[in-house]
Amino acid sequence: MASITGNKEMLAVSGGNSVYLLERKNGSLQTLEPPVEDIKITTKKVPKKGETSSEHADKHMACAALSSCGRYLALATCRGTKSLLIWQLEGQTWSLISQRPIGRAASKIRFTNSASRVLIADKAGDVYSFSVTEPTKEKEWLLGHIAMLLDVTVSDDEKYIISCDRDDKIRVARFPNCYNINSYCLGHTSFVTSLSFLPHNLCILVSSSGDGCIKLWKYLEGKELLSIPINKYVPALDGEILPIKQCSVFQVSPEASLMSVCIGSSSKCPIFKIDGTDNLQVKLLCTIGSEDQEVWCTQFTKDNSMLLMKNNKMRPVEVWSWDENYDFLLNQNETELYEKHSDTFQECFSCPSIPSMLYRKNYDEPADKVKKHS
Amino acid sequence: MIDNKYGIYRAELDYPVHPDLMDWSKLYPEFPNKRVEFADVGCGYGGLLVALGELFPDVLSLGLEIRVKVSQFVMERIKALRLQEPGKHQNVACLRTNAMKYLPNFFYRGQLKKMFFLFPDPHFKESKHEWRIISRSLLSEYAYLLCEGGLVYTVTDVPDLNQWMVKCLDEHPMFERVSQEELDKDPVVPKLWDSSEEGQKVTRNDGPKLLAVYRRVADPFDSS
Repeated sequence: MASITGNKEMLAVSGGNSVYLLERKNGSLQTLEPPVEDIKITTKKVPKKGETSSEHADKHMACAALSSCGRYLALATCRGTKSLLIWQLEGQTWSLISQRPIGRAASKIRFTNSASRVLIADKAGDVYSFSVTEPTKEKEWLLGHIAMLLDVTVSDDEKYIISCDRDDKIRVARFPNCYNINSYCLGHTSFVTSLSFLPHNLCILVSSSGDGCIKLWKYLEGKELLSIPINKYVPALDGEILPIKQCSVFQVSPEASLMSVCIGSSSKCPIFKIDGTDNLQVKLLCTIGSEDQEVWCTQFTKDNSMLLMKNNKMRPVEVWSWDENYDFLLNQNETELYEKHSDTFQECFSCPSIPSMLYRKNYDEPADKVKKHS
Repeated sequence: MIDNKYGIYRAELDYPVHPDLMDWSKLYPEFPNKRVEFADVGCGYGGLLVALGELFPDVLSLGLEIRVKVSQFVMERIKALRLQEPGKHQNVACLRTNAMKYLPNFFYRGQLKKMFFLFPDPHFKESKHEWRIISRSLLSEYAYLLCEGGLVYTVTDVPDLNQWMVKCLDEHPMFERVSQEELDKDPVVPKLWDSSEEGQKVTRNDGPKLLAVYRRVADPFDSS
């Protein structure tokens, strides 16, 4: 799924096979993409583990990530020779420092906190680590699930790695000794789409799922602390429970964080405040998003902005901020800076934000063969 | 539900969202306060399972089988044995599930003392190696489910598969191979060949008896 991220200086939007960088000062656009190659599209398509051949034909989107220090940018491409590219910011220019092949399309990529590695959670169920400090070093397999991975994250202290999959599972393992599983966070009843740490209490994991809930966990114990059924706050018109695509969290005080939620097939983005460390209190602050344009992605940035990516021909990127009363306002000036690039961003919406294959019923029964009817 | 051109029968599987939510009393009515300690993964027709129940009367053993008809057979077999010999076989049961996906839904960390993988599907094709029940990914799950000192028994008559399983287990930092001397003293080992239906077939056909047993050890990372 195409996504947006950013820091004080720039925004990064992932597209079909490239990343679009927007300079926040002036709205100028730079595209970073893989060097041109001889793209020979092989016709033989082998269905991968857990997929049928019709799903294999689904288009993938590239995945991009910015390191927290802002000096590195990573892109996992999905067309041609799938690769992980890493650029380093030197002054004002981004120079490509690494290009290494990845076996399978990525679902999510992330830098570790120290930016020493990029982690890739792929659609075959595996997590690989790519060194940033040694840009030509071969990738390292870290762990594998049996089902397609949707997100992976590493704790701030880089002691634990958490991965979530299409089979409703969240797994917590040690890092970098990822073969040592610490716990599972079990409770979601559908695919788990994103993982974040609650900024004002990093022992708490925040997860989103196709079951329409956000759950908070004491992840080391695998204990569910709170479940937030989003449809209670943002009901769908027909009462259907909508899946949660992802959520973003942001610390506003030592005891509180904000959480914005991106709902599948919805134009509404609810924003919550989560208070407390042991006794968690959740309050809906507001719901933003007005026109009937699906919110694709939401992300807080360190400079107290909130980014929204919307399937909107005129204004696919919005920047919001809030005042001391948590009234959210569109940052009109900055948002308008990006409107001139709206055509470029249209390709980000070419694939459904929640691929239908995530809903596919798992086929678990291999061996009871019934006599073929002619 | 008949599905696709191969006419393969597919059906929904039952599993609890969390081990806390599993009601074991239906499977082990006479043992309300005990937890399963031995798991026979892919228990087939239940031969080994029944033997384990007799060899270890104080331990709950569970057979896991994905095939509908086979698991139903085992459940009926246990039901009949319990009627024929009252007071016996109460400590064995069979569950229909996909062990590759749902073991952590049923069992807590470190709950299991023994896991059996008898005559698993070899999945010969290179592209299907990831489907094997012994793989580097799944071994981490089994290490999580087993207590320290717990044992994994792998049995096959396919040399390639034995080599693959040994390689995976040798390479996993939380498993160490059990010596032949120790195996010679283990009362379970003869049962692997005598009581499982597949094991008996191998004996009849004079096939290779490839056994590899590993112990779950502490993570060496912590002590380094």
